[in-house]
Formats: sequence, C-alpha cells, structure tokens
Amino acid sequence: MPPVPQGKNAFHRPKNMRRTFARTFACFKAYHFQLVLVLIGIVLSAGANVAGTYMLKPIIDDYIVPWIGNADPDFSGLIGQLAIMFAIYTIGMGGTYLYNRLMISISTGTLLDLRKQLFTHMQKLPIRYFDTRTHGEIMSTYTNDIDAMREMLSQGIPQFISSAISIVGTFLMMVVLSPLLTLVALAMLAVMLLITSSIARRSGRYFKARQDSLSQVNGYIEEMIEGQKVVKVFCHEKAVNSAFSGLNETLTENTVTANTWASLMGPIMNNLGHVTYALTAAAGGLMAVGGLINLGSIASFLEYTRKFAMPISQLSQQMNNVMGALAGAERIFDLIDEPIEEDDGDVTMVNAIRNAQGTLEECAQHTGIWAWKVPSETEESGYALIEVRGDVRFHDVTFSYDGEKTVLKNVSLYAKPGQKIAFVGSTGAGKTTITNLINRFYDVQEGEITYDGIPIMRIKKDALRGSLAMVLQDTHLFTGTVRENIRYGKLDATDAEVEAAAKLANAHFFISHLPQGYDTVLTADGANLSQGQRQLIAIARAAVADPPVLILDEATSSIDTRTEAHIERGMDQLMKGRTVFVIAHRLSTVRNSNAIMVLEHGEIIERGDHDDLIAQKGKYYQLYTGMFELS
Amino acid sequence: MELTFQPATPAELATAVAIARAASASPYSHWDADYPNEAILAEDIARGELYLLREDGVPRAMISILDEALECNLVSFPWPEKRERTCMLARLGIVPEAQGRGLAAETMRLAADAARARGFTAARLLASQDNPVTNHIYQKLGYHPCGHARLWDEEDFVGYELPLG
Repeated sequence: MPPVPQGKNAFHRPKNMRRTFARTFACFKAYHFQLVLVLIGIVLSAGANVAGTYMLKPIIDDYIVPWIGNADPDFSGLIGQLAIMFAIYTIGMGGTYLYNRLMISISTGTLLDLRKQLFTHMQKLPIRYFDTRTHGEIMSTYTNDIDAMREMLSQGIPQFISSAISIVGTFLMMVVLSPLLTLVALAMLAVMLLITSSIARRSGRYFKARQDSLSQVNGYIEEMIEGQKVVKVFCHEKAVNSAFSGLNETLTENTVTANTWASLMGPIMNNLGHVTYALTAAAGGLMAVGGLINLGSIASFLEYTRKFAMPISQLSQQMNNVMGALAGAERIFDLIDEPIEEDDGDVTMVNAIRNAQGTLEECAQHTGIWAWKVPSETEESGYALIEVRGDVRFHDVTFSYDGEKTVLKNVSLYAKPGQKIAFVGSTGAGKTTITNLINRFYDVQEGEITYDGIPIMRIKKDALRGSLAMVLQDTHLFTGTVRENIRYGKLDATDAEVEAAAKLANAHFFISHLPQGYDTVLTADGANLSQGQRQLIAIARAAVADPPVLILDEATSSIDTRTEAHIERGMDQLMKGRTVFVIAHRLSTVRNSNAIMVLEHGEIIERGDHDDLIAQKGKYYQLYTGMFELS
Repeated sequence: MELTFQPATPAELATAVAIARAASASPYSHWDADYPNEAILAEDIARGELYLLREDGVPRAMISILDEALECNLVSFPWPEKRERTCMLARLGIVPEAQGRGLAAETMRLAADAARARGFTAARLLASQDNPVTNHIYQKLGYHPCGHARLWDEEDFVGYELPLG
C-alpha cells in the first residue's frame, strides 16, 4: 500500500479564494432567478431598517416637538407617519422572510447537487485515491465541509450582504443627519474595534488550540473504537483511559480559556456601546443647545449609532465563517476535480454459447460461458470471441506505488485455469500488490499481465473485475438482509441462486438458523454475526458471482483454526474449476495449492507445491516447521 | 508405567496426525479429515502449543494449549468474563486402545500444569454437549460450565473454565 499522509487541519483559509468563490457561485447557476429575488429581499430588509430609523426624525421634529405647550394637538398627521413607518418595517419583514425562505431552497438544492456530484465522482476514483487518504479525511468532506457550506449559503452570505448594506446605509444616514456627530461615533467605533480585535486575536488562538484538542480527542476515540479487540486482548483499558483523560483535560482547559476570552467580548462591547450612546447623546445635546441640530435628528442618530456597531461585528464574524466555508468548498471541489480512473480497454466480456461447430457465439442470456470480445480487423464480424477460462500470467512484472520504492521486481508466474496459486511471505513482501495488479487497482509499470492471452491493459476494467471475485480478510457487509448481501455479488441473482451459493459456501445452515433466515437484517457491518459467519457470507457472495477467477486475500486469517477448517470446506467447493489466487499467513490455507510462491522483498524466492518446497528445505520449510515466523 | 508429557517437535507431526486420525474413529468424535488436519497440527507444533502424552515411550494422547491472545486461537464463544492470560485447551485426542484407562483425565491434569507453568491464569475448553464422557471428566477435574453455543454449524458446545491461579 502507498503511504497515507496524516490528516490535514480541518479549518484553514482557501488556497485560491477567488477561484473557489467564483466556483461556489457557479453552483447557483440553476437558481439565478431566485438569487435576484434574494438580493431584492436583502435590500428591502436592510433598506427598511435604515429608512424606518430615519422616520423618527420627522415624527419628532414635525409632530411631537410642535405639541410641546400646545393645548389642542393634531394627531392626524402623526397617525399617517406611523402608518408609513409600519409599512416600511412590514416591507422589511417581508424582505427578510423572502430571502431566508429562498435561501433555504437554494442552499438545500445546491447541496443536494453537490453531494450527488461528490458521491458519483467518488465511485469513479481510482483505489489509489482511497489508499492515500484516511477515511476520516474523506468523510470530513461530506460532513464538516458540506455543513460549513450549508451555513455559508443559508446564513453567511445573506447576512454578509445584509450587514454590508446596513453599514453603508446607516453611515450615509448618519453623515446626512450630522457629520460632526458621525465623527464622534466613528472615533468611539475605532476604540471598540481596537479592543475587540485584540480580544478576538487572543481568543482565536485558544479556539485554534481547542479545535486541535477536539480533533485529537475525536481521533483517539475513533482509534480506540476500531481497536477495541486489541485493547481488550492486551488488557490496556487502564492505559487507554489514562491517555484519554489527558487529552480530555487538555480539551477542557483549552475550551475554558477560549470561552473565557470570548465571553469578555459581549460585556465589553455592550459597555462601550452604552458609552458611545451616552457620549453621542451628550454631544448631540450640546449641539442642540447651540441650535446646530434638532431633537428628531438626535433621536434618529442615536438609533443609528446603536445599530452601526452590530453589523460591523457581524461582518467580521461572517467573514471568518465564509473563509472557513470557502476552504471547505475548495476541498469539495478538489474531490470533484480528482482525476477519475482511466480505462482505455477495448475488450469486453459477453455471454457466449457454443454452436454446432463448437465455436463460440455471443448471446444475450446467461449460459455459464463467458467470452472476451476482442476487436479484430481480421475477423469478418469485426471481433473475435475468446473463452474466459482464467489463464493469468505475469511476464517480468515490476511495480512501485510511489515510483521510488519497488514493491515487485521482475515477477513472472502463471496460473492455468483451475489451478490454485498461493503467495506466502512477510508483511510488505508484495503479496497483496500482486492481486492489486490483477484486478487493475493499479497498473504495472514494467512487464505485462495477460488474461487468457490478452494483455489486461486491453480489457475494460468493468469486464476484468466482473471476471474476478475477491474475498478479503475484512469482510464488508452492508446494511440490508443476508440475501441482499449475498446478492451483492450478482445483482440479478434469483433467490434460488442466492441459496445455492450459500449452500456451496457452507453458509446455508447458520443462515437458516438466524431469526428471519435469509431475510435477517444485518446492521453495523454485520455486527450481529461472528467473524466466521461474516466470512461465510463473503464466500457466498463470491460464489453467486460465479467468476472464473477467485482471489482470497487473507480471507480466513483472523478466525480460529476450527472455524477456518469449516470455512475451507465451503472454499473447496467454490474453488473447483476456478483459478484461485490465495494470500495467507496460515500454511494450512495454502498447503493444497498447485503452486506456492514464497515472496520476499517483491521477488519470488521459492516456488513449487507443498512437497517440493518442504523438500527444498528453504524459507517455506522454515515457515512450516516453525523455524521462521511471518511478521 | 511411565508417563511423559512434552511439547511435540516438528519431527513428531506424523505421530500427532496418526493420533488425530485414530481418535476421530472414537464414538462421539466430531473430528474428520479436515479437522484437525496435518497443517493445523503443524502450526500448533510450530508455535510450541501441541503436547504429546507418552506411556512408556508410546504416544497415547495429544492436546494443544492455545494462547487466546492470538486471534487464530480465539473462538467466538460467549465467555462470561475476560481473564488476563487465558489459554484454550483444544484438540484433545486419545488413541482408542488407550481409552477408558483415565489417560484423558491425566492428559488434562498435565495440560493444566503445563499451562500454569507457561503463565496462564485460566484454562478454557469447549466440549460437545452430547458427549457425556468428556463432560463428566471436565467437571470432575474442577472445570465449571460457563455457557453454551452452537458452533461450526454442527452441534452444541458447552464452555468450561478452570482458574489456574
């Protein structure tokens, strides 16, 4: 396997902000009309807020002030003004509802498309992509990054625009009402920004530490859940608890410190807000006494002062969120842009039937005979049919995952149809790489692999993989019934075929004793089954696929010897007439192979059947007699 | 009559296989050609886990003392609680001509001693529920039953445990 780089920090700024921003907005292309309505809604909402506040001035100056000392005040004009004010705020409310409601549809619709794109693209990615990343890293794209984008789309961007409009509008109105008072307010605002940015810098540092601690705690929990068996077998519960306590305490300390700093922000801002309000009111009062401003303007101005600081702090908050979300968006787009698995093959696999002359003919129905359909200029039909038999040969194959460290060196071998070929050797000797090359998870760099005489590079990957079945050490069962899990090997298999495969794999007995038999629902990767039972289902899955070539990669290495012997019976049935590649630590699994290849550092150092290798008294002999342990 | 109880050597693989084949002919035996096969016994010997009981030099019985810390020895069975160092006694076979003379009990006693000497604090084993002879022997030797389950699609097994402390 190629080396897996360690996880990246979940939140950082985007590498190419402009491009990511443009691309994020390109995601909205299906919603242009709704976006225009959103913009209108935002303008109405923010505009109404600014305009509504301004209405205080005429109400006070034109109606309330003239009533002072008036024995018979006229309320008719005031009612009209209040109605206008009410209408303005109602329009604002309508605008807020409109853009919020539309943004919900736009953001959920956009994320629906993005998730679909991500998942569809992920199915086309080469195995190398998954081998070089942790699962957590890929999962984070679907959870953290998508969630950050949802926040940004549904709230961040609308609030950002709304805040910007409010700031500009409020500032303009303040200047219109009183340039002098605006200077006073701006001076106080500068002080507020200075203090808040200083607090934000400190709390930001601790929030980053908290985020790192949280990642460590989560990572540790994930690791311990995966490694529960190892922890229990080696009785490491105490050590694990102690390590977790250390991480947990660090997280708590960092959280307390970060939140302590962050909690200072509110009261300080509040107090400074009150001070600004008082200073502006005092300055306004003095100006009014000097006849430089009227009461209505002061009232409106004070209201604007109160409203001015809020969108500014919101803007900086939203800016951070938008940056984080854009970094997430960049990772989403990176995944979508990952080059998909290339497939230049032109050879396909088809159902075939033998005609009266004994030659193969293509047919639509399943006959149990498969043929490679090879484009050919010499054939009248334009193609030749070659029976899929399972003859696999390696010709001087050399391979490296990273282009530096050679994993296989000049490997040549052949597997004739119906033969069982086993690979033994230490971890890292290159055993699994051989199977990775047969199914073209990776392509050879030197040499060639042929399948029934056809270079596998010419065979379409779907066809190639359709002709192989793999049973791995880690059996993956999907949520669904036992029947559905077996049918995963051949989606159109009938119930009778599924049961026949289970019988072949020696799995029928235990399945029929499950509470609902074949219709028992398996959950959480088949946690309600033993390892041996899961393995039997995997073998049944391979059996129902009925492929000419089987690859068993440490298929029984984590189960007890007697269960393995039980499974072997199922395996033996399955292997009949097929080419089988077996990778195993257990010599009991490989003993009856037609040929056993002993690999070391990517080279075949011994080959032969069990008796030959015992007679050679080499590495295999040492393994068999316990003189050498596989690592 | 002199009894010796020692780990089998690679050269004694054929002896172990012969005992297994002979024992599989006994009544109640569920052994066959697949289990325990030569490769399984070879692996037990390679790990130093298979012991042979000889009577005046003649091989009469075998048993494996398997370290449960190895995944390949860990049978999926609902054991009641975890012990720190547990071994699994398995593949107890007595040649038919030596049966009925207390050699099974003697093999079990010697195996418990050997397990204790290797540092195990408990010994576990599985006995076929329908084999009254072995169940009687285990209980007489102080093993207490601690659960049962159907294993390998064949039969019901009783789990026994003996603290070795």
